[in-house]
Amino acid sequence: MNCDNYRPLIDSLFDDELEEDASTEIIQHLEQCSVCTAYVANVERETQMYAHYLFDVEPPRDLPARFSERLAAEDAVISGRSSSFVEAALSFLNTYRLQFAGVTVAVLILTLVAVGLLRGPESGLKLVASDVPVSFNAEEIKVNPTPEALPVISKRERTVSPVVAKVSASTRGVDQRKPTSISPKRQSESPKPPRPNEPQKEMMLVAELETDAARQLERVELLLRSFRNARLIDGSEIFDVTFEARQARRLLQENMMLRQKAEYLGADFTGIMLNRVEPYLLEIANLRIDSTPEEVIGIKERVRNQNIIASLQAF
Amino acid sequence: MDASMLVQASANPENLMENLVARAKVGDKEAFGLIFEHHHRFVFKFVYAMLGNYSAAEEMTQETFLGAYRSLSSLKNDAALKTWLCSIAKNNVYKSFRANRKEGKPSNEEIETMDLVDDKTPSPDDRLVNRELNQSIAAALAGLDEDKRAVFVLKEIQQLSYQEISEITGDAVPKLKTDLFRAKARMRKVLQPYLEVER
Repeated sequence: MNCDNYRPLIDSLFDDELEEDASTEIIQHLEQCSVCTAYVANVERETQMYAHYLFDVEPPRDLPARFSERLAAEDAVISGRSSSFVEAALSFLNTYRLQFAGVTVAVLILTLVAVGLLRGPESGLKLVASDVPVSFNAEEIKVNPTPEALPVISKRERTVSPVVAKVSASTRGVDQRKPTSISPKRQSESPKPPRPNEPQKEMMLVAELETDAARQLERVELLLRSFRNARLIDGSEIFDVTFEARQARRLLQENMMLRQKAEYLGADFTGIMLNRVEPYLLEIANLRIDSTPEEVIGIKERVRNQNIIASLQAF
Repeated sequence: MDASMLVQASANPENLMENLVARAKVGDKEAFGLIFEHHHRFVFKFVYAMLGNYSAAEEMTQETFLGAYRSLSSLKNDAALKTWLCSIAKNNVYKSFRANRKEGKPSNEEIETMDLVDDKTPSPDDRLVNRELNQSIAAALAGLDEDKRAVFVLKEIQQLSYQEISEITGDAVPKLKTDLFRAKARMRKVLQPYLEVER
């Protein structure tokens, strides 16, 4: 196989998508071929260059907040559309209900008149006063239904569905699996405007921490990927990890600060993730230009074996 | 936003994200907000690399997530959220390119180059070199066609696997490899001076 045939395989080697046998064959070829070794050095530099492009590009810090506002506005438009539909439906039903109530009243009057005529004037008055517990006022019928008339509806109204309970539970920290009961008195209370208090301030701090931590962990992930791909400097026994060591020093400082903040705010999971990456940052930051290949390979193997990059990607 | 509670809800990051997706699917905006916080940087960087325009990337990132919120029920595999979001972003980017073409603008018309290096970078020399290099990479990217640019950005810059890129673009892996090979050859040509600096 000539050098031209090796080039695509070398590219695949850099993509970590080559079988072990083929990798061994390439490595053997590289030991003998200075042209391909130079090509590898070039690809390596190229890979590093592209991997570092956008390393420091960050979206504006307030983008999540702006997006939340936009999402809320979007929801308001959707619920506005549905509420206007509901209003139209209710208006139609109201009209129909009034007509129905009018007809009912008319039928009752006619019945009473008919009964009165049959029994005579005295017995008719007696019947209306004692035996018929019905008000002829259509508004009263509508507003005060007896529990017997609407038992199912009343029961449903007092129990929030599991989905709704789950959503509201997320803001109050209650058990999400159980449906929440709300007393009729609480249902009638009008919602009070939210006032900024200590828990809310803390929540804001936690949200800010989560954003910063996610940004930090993404940078660490990129750094570890870059470190994992680091290769020997052309014609030497030294790994070129100067860029990674410099970045690790920067990230380590930030990491320690964020981890302490997470511990203080009780954001346990974030703290655990930050704590987990810190030893790697420390080890990479301490690498010197003359660090032995064994030192570098040792860290690389730990990065690979402990699946730290996959965990960060999932985070 | 009660982020800590949601984050602490699960000790496993993968389960956590699936849990958030499940909650967002039933209309939990808080959960979707956390999904945004976790993934918006990745989507933003992809869009920025594709468009080369910071404010357009900002807008399109939001559009992407709004689109995702509206059609979250169509997400079949909750674990593939990242690639799904990225595929929505890719479609938005392509749509914007098509709109530009209709108006007679080239797809790379708005390419700009920011000073991408933050204040913590050690020396002014480094800043200058990095800035110049980033400008060159942005210009070289702008010279690639849409498909090649997408596969190049996702593979070389964002370091996804071919399988993930295939999920995003809908293209078969052999096509992606061919596109990437050509894209790299073109990029190499443009960036040759930087590749030779330390030889």
